[in-house]
Amino acid sequence: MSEKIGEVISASVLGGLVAKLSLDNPEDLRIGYPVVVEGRTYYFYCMVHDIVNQSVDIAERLAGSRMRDSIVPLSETHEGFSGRIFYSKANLRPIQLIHRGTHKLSEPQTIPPYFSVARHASLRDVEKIYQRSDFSAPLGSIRGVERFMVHIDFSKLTEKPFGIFGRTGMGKSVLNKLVCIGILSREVGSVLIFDMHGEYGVYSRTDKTEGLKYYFPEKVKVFSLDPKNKEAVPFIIDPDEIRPEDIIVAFQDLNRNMVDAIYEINRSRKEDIVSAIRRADLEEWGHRVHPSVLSALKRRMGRMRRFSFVRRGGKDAFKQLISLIRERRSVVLDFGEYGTDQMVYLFVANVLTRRLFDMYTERNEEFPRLVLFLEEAHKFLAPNIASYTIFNKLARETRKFNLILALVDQRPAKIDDEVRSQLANRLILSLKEPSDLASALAGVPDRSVWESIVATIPARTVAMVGDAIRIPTVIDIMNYTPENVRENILDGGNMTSEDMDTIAQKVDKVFSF
Amino acid sequence: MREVALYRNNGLDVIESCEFVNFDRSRTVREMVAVDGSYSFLLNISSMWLAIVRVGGLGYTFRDGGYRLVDSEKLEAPILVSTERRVVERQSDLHVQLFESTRLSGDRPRAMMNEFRHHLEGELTLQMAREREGAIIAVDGTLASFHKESNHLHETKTECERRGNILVGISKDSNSHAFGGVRTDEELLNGKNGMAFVRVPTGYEEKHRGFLHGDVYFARLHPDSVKWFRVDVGTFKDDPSFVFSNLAHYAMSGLCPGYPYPLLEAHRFAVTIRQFKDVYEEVLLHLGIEEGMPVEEVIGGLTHVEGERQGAFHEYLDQASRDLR
Repeated sequence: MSEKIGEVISASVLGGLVAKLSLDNPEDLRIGYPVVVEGRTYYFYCMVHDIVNQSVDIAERLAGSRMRDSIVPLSETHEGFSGRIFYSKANLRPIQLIHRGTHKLSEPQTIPPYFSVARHASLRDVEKIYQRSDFSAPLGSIRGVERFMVHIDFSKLTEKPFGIFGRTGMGKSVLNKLVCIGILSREVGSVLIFDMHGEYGVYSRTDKTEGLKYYFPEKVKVFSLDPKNKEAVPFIIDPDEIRPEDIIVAFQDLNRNMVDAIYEINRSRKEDIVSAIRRADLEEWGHRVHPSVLSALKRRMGRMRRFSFVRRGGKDAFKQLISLIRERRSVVLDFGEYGTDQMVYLFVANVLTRRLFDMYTERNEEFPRLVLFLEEAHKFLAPNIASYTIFNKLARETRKFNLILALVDQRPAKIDDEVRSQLANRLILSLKEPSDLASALAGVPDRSVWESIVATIPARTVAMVGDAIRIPTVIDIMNYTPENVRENILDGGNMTSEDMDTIAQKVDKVFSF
Repeated sequence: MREVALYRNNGLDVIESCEFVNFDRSRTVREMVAVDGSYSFLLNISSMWLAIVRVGGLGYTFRDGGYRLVDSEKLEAPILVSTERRVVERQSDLHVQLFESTRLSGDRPRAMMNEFRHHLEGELTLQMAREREGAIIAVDGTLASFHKESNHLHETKTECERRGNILVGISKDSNSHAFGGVRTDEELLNGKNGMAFVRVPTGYEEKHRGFLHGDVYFARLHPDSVKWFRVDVGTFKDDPSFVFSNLAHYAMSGLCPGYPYPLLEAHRFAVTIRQFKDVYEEVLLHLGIEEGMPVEEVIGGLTHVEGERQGAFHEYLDQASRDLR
């Protein structure tokens, strides 16, 4: 049995429980830790959502007073008749009830008696709650429980759109990789990743960690917009495939009149839209589009001259990509030298996703489930732009067609509310902005509790809520090493160390690392 | 103000002529037992008052720079006192003795209840003193018994002497004027610093010889003590330095420098009886109904902790007076 941490001194079904702590040091407890309160009929599986040292008059008087030769009344120096003189309290949020006899799980609709013992959750407790399946794999361990890797059901995760939110530097990329590895290892679908910074191929260009192709050399194909990347399949976009929406989304700064002008030109064009705008004559269009608007639009179109991947005569990469997806393979689209160019990213992602959407809606039965990882999602799904993009539609109708959106973003508040409400699962790393906290957790029961947890969790820790996990859980993301991935996600048996070494050697040859 | 200024220094000359003895803490530390009690009136029906008395005894040791609770004992008893002889005559001999000895008291029920509290405190002190050797046995208040029948001081003192226990009584607040001042002894001593003790003038002890079971001192057990406390020394009378140097170990708490921490805890333990008043009232209601008393009568008889009825008419008048202001 785990160490006792205190006793329940107040309880409310709606407000949660308060435990008077018997710990010498409140630092032994942290927000998000699981705690079990032993009621008479149930074990109350709870989450710590606040730890409090209440203001006490006598403590205020003592603090800062310089008494010679006296003993500070800390819990380790003063034992009172009822325990510690100055004690801390923990606010606990019941998440699940476990019947003490049958071990049946149920929702927390009651409270434990006064003085019920609260203790750290043990391995045995969490094993009763988190069940495994053929489609589950861990992303990390539960905070505050030793050596328990918590399993996520990747089949459920990929049934509906999901979101991965968190501030920069909190571990989104590692989490993304682990999620992708989980999806591919459990064969619940394929993934398509827009790889802006070259992190998902064989090795990450930024931190040299292993990418998806390292683990799944046969399942993952790398395409690249960058002609310098000779190891990847060149990704070419035929100008005829470009639609007005692609331009509107990519530019992000077109005013209402410019948008109208693009559609006006699009209605009567005889060539691709980019060329049509560039060649639009002021005299010819002057009566339909204001000359200053047209001039500004033509100037802006100059931005697309650097898009060397937009050209005629190349092999249509999209067809190749589609045939790979049909074969249940995954695609990493490397942006190479365009990695820092947001306009390129917005443009390519919109073109590609729109075409995928069309394909999936027309010939749905031909295609397996595809999860489309969309970083900087708010750029596509901001309320002022969402109506022009395919993503708005995709987020709403996605699961009908097996094309699933995974929104990855650091500013969830900027994503359209309606789109966000479609997310069945959310993996939330640390967020600080109150509006982002509120948005990331919109619709989650006990939102305020989770807001306080998410606001205080450290880097590489994720709060996960949704139907892919038994209960809302705070997870310490596993260290991203080949050993961990192999042992915990690839099951160690699917791939021998010889296999891994062979892959690594091949990779080293290619990249001369 | 002139008169106030004139009289406020009265007695200081006596203080200055007394011998103040400085002392340090002893090298070794003894275990300490602290006993304190409290009561709460619950019910008043006519001339009968029902109260609950709680006495706590806490055993402490000073180890690794901290105060460790070794053991604790509790006595709790419902006590019925009455100002009606016909009722008292059907009660115990102690009831009768206390009834007689408190007849001049202005507030007889409280005086009787206080004596019952002393009685139970004495009982527990004696019990704990018997279980120890070479310890400090401290009771709350003086080592004086105005009603010999109600406490066990004499026995306790004898037991402590036999077992080498230091016996002291420490008053939280003393109103004595042993130094002959207009102000209390505590107030007169306030200007004196350091760790020291001073014995009160012999005249005072002579005057109270029949009641006192110890020598009366005032002591400052910590250099930052907020006040001087009256300490009655019951054993080791010939070596007060030994007594105070041992006692001083327990007066180092930042919570109450100069006052032994175990006594603070014993007090906290005892007064919880007042915090549980609601619980006892509920029990009373059930028992009252079981005994065939009308609920209204029980509810009407519920009192505040000091024995006044909750619904007393003077309370209504006080409230009305405030509202009419």
